[in-house]
Amino acid sequence: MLLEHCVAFVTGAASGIGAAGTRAMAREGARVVVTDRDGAGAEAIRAAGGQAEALALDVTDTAALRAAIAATAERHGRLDVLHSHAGVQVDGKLEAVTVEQLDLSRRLNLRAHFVAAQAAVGPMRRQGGAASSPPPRTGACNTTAR
Amino acid sequence: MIAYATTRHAAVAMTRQMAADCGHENNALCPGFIDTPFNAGFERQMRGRVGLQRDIAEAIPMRRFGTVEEIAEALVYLASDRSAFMTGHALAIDGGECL
Repeated sequence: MLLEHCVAFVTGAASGIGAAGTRAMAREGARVVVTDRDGAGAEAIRAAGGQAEALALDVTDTAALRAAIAATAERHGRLDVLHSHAGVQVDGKLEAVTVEQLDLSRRLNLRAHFVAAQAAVGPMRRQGGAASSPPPRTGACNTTAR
Repeated sequence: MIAYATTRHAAVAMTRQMAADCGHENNALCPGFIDTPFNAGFERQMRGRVGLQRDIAEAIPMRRFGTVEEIAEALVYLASDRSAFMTGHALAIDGGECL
């Protein structure tokens, strides 16, 4: 298995691509911390996903996001993969989109990735180079859009 | 899609900068059209499901939605050692949409 001994933290994991990614990483042996604003949805994915844990988490809550990542690294003694997936799709062209909608997009599609990566990089750096484990990695889920 | 496109492109720029700053593997995964409720906004902009499907048939060389499993395969690749020397990259899995 490709992710044996890995601990992965996923946001937006209760549905769609987030859920499929979580299932795939669990199938490859990862211990996955499944987070979503929809706590019940996260729990459903956890229940079907092998050695996973579920947590209700709104990634726009900076303190909660930082605390969840720190607690994951602490509890498992490591953090190998951050998959910062939660995001929002706001439709509309220049004259239709409100400033509030732009701010929501910024908070979810940019700021939350920054907060999550910043929280993950410390624990990842401290474990870097550990024998018999892959180097840590972070990543955002993005979409090319027209 | 100005709010969406702007923040997603900013996230790609941030991904590259994070990779340069940290020196560990940091990549962006960029799915094309996958048939999930996430597309509701764009579907509205395209005036409904028929409009969205017409757009996909015309704008995407593979002429179909991708599946969540096809994106999950790319995620496993990025999360695993198989991509160990890859960083600062935006990996598009989109049926050729960006061509």
